[in-house]
Amino acid sequence: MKISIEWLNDYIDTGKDIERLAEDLTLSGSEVEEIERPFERINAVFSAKVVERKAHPNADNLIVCRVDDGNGLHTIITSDKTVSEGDFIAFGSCQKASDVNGHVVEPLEIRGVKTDGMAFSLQELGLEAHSEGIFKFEKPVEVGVDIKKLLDLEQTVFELEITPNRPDCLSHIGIARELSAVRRTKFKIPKPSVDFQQGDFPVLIETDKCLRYVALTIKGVTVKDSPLWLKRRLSSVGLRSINNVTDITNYVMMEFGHPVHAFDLEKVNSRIVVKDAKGGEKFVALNSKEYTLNGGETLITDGENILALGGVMGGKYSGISLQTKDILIEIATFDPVNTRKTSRKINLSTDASYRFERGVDPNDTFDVAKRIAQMVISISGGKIDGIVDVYPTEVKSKKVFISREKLSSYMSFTPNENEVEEIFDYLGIKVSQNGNGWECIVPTFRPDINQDVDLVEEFARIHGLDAIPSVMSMPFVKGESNSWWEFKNKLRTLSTSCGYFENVNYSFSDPKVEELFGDTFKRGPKLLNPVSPEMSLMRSSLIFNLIDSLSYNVKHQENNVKFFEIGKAFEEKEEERISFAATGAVSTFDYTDKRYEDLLIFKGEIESIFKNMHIDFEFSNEDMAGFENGRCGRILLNGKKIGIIGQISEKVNEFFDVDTPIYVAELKIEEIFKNLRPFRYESYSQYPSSFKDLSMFVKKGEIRAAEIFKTARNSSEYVQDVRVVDLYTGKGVPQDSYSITIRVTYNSVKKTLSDQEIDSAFSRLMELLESMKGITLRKVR
Amino acid sequence: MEEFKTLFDQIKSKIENAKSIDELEKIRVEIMGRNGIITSLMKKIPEMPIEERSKFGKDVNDLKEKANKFLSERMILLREIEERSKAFQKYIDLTIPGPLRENGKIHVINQVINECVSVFSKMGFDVVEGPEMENVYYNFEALNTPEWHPARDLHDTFYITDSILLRTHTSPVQVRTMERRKPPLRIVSAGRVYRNDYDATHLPSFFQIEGLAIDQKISMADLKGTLENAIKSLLGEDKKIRFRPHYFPFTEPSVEVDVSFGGKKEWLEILGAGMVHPNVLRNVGIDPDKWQGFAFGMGIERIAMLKYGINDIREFPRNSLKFLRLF
Repeated sequence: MKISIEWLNDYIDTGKDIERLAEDLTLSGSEVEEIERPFERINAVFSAKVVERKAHPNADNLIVCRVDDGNGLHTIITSDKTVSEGDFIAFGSCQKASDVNGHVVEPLEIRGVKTDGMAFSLQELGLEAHSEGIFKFEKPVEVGVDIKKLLDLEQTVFELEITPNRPDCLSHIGIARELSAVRRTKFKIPKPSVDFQQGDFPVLIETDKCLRYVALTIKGVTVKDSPLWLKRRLSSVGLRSINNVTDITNYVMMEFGHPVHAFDLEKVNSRIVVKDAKGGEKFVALNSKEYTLNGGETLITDGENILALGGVMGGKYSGISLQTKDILIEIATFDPVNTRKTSRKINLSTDASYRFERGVDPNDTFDVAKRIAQMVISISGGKIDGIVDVYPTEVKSKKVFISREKLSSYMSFTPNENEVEEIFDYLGIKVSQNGNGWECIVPTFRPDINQDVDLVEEFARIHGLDAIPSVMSMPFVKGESNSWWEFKNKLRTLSTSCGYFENVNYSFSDPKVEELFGDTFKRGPKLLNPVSPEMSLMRSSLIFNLIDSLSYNVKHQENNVKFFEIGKAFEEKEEERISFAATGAVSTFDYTDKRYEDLLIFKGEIESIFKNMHIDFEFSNEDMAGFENGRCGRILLNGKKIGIIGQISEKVNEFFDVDTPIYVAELKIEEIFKNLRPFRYESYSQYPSSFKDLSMFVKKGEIRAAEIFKTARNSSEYVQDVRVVDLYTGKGVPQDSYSITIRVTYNSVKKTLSDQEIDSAFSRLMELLESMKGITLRKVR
Repeated sequence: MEEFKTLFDQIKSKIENAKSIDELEKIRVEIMGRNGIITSLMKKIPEMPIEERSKFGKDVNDLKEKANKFLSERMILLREIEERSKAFQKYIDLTIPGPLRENGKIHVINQVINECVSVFSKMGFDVVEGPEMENVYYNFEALNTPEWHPARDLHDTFYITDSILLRTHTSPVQVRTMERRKPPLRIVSAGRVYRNDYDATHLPSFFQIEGLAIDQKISMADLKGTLENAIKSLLGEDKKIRFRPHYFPFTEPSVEVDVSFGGKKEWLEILGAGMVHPNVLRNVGIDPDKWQGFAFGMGIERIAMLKYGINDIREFPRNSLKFLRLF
């Protein structure tokens, strides 16, 4: 919200120091986001006198004037035929002067007449939305004087961030009150002495959504342009000048924070009825748009026509026009929640709805009415007809008690009692000591103060947060274990040490991408209001976005990509997973390592990461949509499926426009974490080990490697380890087979094994393997 | 005598021309060996007239000594040369780039989260987590933000159904934790949050860290002390910090904290905080007359941007290796 400093000075002396003023407001809770000078771009525009006026020799619609700006005579061309010799205008020279938007005056040549300057309109001076003609001073002025001085355009305006709990601060008076509390100086609210006659205009409230309705009728007004000072103030705070009556209603709203509305009394069919919309009614608002109502909106009607959407916007039909003579001013208070609902439902937010949905004080109504009456009479003329007040249930001030103990315990010190009372007093809170604290009567313009802590805030922010000490004196608290958090961090560290870079992708996914993976993953929830169709699902797997960012990198000259991500997937439930994706070289910068990622290397990397935490997986082949057949499958832990691994199908590769094979894996880490067993140390053997290598051909599909290893491990109590030392396909190996060499480590924790013991164990292993289908033993070392 | 001089010159030149230890060894045998030059000269002595013997013998001895000296000098030199050449074969230019084993990097978002968590852990806060898909109740109502509350304007919310949304802040974790654990407690919770707002300076999903401390006597001074300590640990001890009154429905009094980086715009907002609203405590069955405390929340991206001078928030979800490698 914008606050004009000149305007603010009507209520409180702000002093000369703008920076300090901004800081005082900011540090009491009304943050000054910007210090603006709305007219600062107007430059080198001076008062000047029209000394000669002639019709343009070659253009019927134009006037050529010679003007004196005290610095010589200049030629201007204007289409404003009302200009006459002896008028005082605002003049700026070509290439020097600029308007409110900073546009510099350019020289013109129209049909043989050259200009060396321009006469400014109020529009170009930023004082009205649209000007019909050039600006003319009403009275003679000295020529050659800066227009900004003459029209008081050296204005400073604060753009304030007013928090939603402070409707009272959406006004100059509210801000003046804040400043008065911070500086402990008085401020004044304009209270013109206006005598109201009880009116007889019928006003009926038929809804509980209108808390109070005051109708002030004024007859015989002249609707016309507003005086310059009014235009200037409204323009400073970002409001358009429309006509004097409408401008006054806006002015009073910016002054008191109470939105008011003016109707053309002639258009009101002899009464005001405030009621709930039934739904289906149509209403054309002042913005010329038609709205169809949903039901429940508060309507201002005259019994027949809808005059206004209460708290939001007036109607076009009943609005003020230049022909209006008699007016009815509505000073009402509408229910905040209902105003908000209305504004949301019809998607129309106005200065009025913004205030009503935050809470407008019904008890300042007569102050506001008097101010309007005074301004209308003095600016628009006319005579007060009468005032009608319908206030079904008076909104009373709340009583809130705060104990000294509560205040001290929040502040960490015992505040000076006089200061407490003084601060509350300046804020308009009536305070009296009562037992061990203060009884406070909270004014109705402060709907945010409801309990003791709200008063703590009032004291704290006005006293100054800086004045609260900064300590660390909290007692020790026994916490809970962070083991899940640490587990995830360990996974991160281990993954990076395998060359994997962590991703943080969005958790949205593209239905088109999910489609590519068929039923491999169960679809996650759909968003009702996604930012785009490509981000409309909650991802059922992390791999989609991981492949997407892999693809982004491949397209940006990064051919070797190894990524992982830890995050939530939303399949049947929200659960945390880790996913890996790799393509290209195993090691980008190791020129001694010429390997490229393949399924086994990739699998080995993932196994290594988890083995470091004593987690051993099993794997089994299983074809899945989105993956290459025969090159994918499940990851199991203790016999339970906890993940998948595989090479992405060519179709998916094409979709993501990546040429090199992509390998992905995804594991449910919550499951893995649950299966973690506490590690127990077992003494290793102090005796030497013996190693035996065994090579064999293994027929693919006939026997799984896992069975070979299981057989080897169980072949003797002395087998300590079985590992692969060579894996080969190609020359010399049958097409349907691969050659594998395993190394068996024999060991005992009790003794050094004899050659005989080892040989007998190894022979047994060979016998076992030889008897298995699909295995042909090759040589023994 | 001329004879000896010539002979000496021949020997000397042979020795000096020896290019290797092996060659020199052959020359040594040639000169000093059983059938060598010197030995054959010696053998001549008995055949000589007696008066010449002494002089001849002396000359041969001289020759022998000189030859020996040259041989050993040459040997030392050749050994040096040989060692030097062996050493050169072993020599490796250490400015040749090593074959790098590139480790991956933890994403800067998680680096910053971990840094924050570690700062708060040292102050006794432990880590809790909560769901990203939340009930409206936990995200808003329990946090004193009923439907149609104007503060909901600040949260452009993604909805799954009318009552299930994507959490707009990490604060629901506070509520869930207080329902589960009795005070005193001190927790932090970091994680992903969502707002339906997507442009050059807003991401539809970003990260927050949230903290909560509840005890019997926690004051605003503790809030200030804790947050000042945390911000200085994260961003540097030299930073100026200011607390500014603000409004959040779930804290009262509420503050925002600004940090000064000495840039053009002096104060940059870095976090929101406040004393936990009594209504929030009541909602989870904690008596606000016995317990009070503070809560705070801050945006991880913002901290990361300030800490490292990153100026485009869209870098974080882009996951470009060129960016990821930098941290």
